Amino acid sequence: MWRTYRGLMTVSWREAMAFRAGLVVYLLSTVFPFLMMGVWLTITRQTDPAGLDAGYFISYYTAAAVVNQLTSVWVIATWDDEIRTGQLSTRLLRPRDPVHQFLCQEACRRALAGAIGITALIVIQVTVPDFGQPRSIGAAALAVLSVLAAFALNFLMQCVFGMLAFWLTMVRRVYGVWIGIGFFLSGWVAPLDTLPDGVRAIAELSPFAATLATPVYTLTGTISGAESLRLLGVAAIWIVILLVLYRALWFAGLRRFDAVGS
Amino acid sequence: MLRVFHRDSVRAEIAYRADFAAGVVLSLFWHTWAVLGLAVFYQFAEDILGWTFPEAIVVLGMFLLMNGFRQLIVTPNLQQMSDHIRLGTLDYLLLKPVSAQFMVTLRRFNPILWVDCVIGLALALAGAILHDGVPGPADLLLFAVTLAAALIIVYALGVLLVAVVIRTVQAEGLDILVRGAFEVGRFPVDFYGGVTAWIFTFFVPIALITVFPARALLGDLPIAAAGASAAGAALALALATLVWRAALRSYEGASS
Repeated sequence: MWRTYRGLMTVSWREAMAFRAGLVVYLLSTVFPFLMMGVWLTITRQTDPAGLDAGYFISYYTAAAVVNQLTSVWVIATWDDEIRTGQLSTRLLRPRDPVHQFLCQEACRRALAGAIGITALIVIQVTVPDFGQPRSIGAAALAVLSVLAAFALNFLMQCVFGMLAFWLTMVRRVYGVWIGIGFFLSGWVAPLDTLPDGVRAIAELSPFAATLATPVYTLTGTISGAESLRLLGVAAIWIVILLVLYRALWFAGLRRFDAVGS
Repeated sequence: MLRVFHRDSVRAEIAYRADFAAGVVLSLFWHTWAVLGLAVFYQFAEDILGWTFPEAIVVLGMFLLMNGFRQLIVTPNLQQMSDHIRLGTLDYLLLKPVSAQFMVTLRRFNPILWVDCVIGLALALAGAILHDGVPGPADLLLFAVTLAAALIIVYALGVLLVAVVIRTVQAEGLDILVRGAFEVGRFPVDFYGGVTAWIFTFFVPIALITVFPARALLGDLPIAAAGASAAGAALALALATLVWRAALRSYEGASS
């Protein structure tokens, strides 16, 4: 298994490197978090929303942009195309489950896309002491862990919805609704601190908070270690649930796929 | 001809009826979300830099309308142009007796986006009515002028992008960049403060296509500004056409 992964990672990394020109465009297009930052900064000049100051919003949205680049996978499109067009059958002839290759491809793409952002974030955190940052080695380790959890959650959520392609033709639109709910509950539109308390409580129990808010909080050192562990615990439960769900749908889908193909 | 092309696109779309219904529902969903996203700011302030919630809603409505219109005509034709260049079919197209510019910029439509346009317009009108009642005929006339100018500017942008694709072939990156620039129009540009607001008023005229029509609808746009936006639209269209012609002259065909 280890050797398979080493081989797949090498190939995937080279694939990702081949498309690095497109990456510049991709990075430039990450405007949304900075726009939101701009509006919040304007508001902080008038009042202090939910007791938060300009520094909070600057570090929040900078970290949010970086986390987004490190974790926004798009494997649902791969599943959708493979299953709908039947290309999956060629992959099934190989001895390894295709998900391993998709995982390696996404990991390499995200690592490359996030490399510039994460470097910039660390440089800022080192040079500007006031900028939100993890205050100890333990806190930094939790930050790394929460970014990995966010990647895993996004990947698994898309795998679960991707499996629906065995039965439906419009999984991307179905997933669109799901991720639309996530826009609010993950803290992408606005920090959870600025939303009503009820929304925040729901968000922290949903799988969404761990896809953005938790890594942002740990990266900027906004929450305590105990709090981070609690949120990561919720994330771990969701990872298990989604993994089980995805595998169950995969085997059910394969049986159906065989019936169509033969 | 435009009618035939449009009907052609509509027919392709309604072949997938369930998909179309889902698209309408999704569009409503996203627009609700856009309004809620704006409402988050207004929990903390009655007005932001003098813009009240209904006034900001009018700008948001205009943004959704313009963004919908962009995806309705610019995105599909841009994609098609990329295919034309890659496959070399542009050569055949140039041989047809009809204007090539017309053929490459208005051949394809993505009709589901009409829904976005209509909801955006409805939202803008609702915001204006909440602000201070139904707009008078003079305001509606100014609105019509600035709206038409804004639509022409978006079309001119489409022409310009198609000309750029002749050089770059790839369309996706361009489309993503333009989408990013459009996002700025979601809120009144002065919300961003300082340099950003200035850049997006004068350098990249996002304000021209969202804030101007919005202010006209709210009844506080000077007539001179409406004139300026009409002139801006004419200039944009002329400029884009010139760039398109120049790009076409430099195009040497797929075979050479």
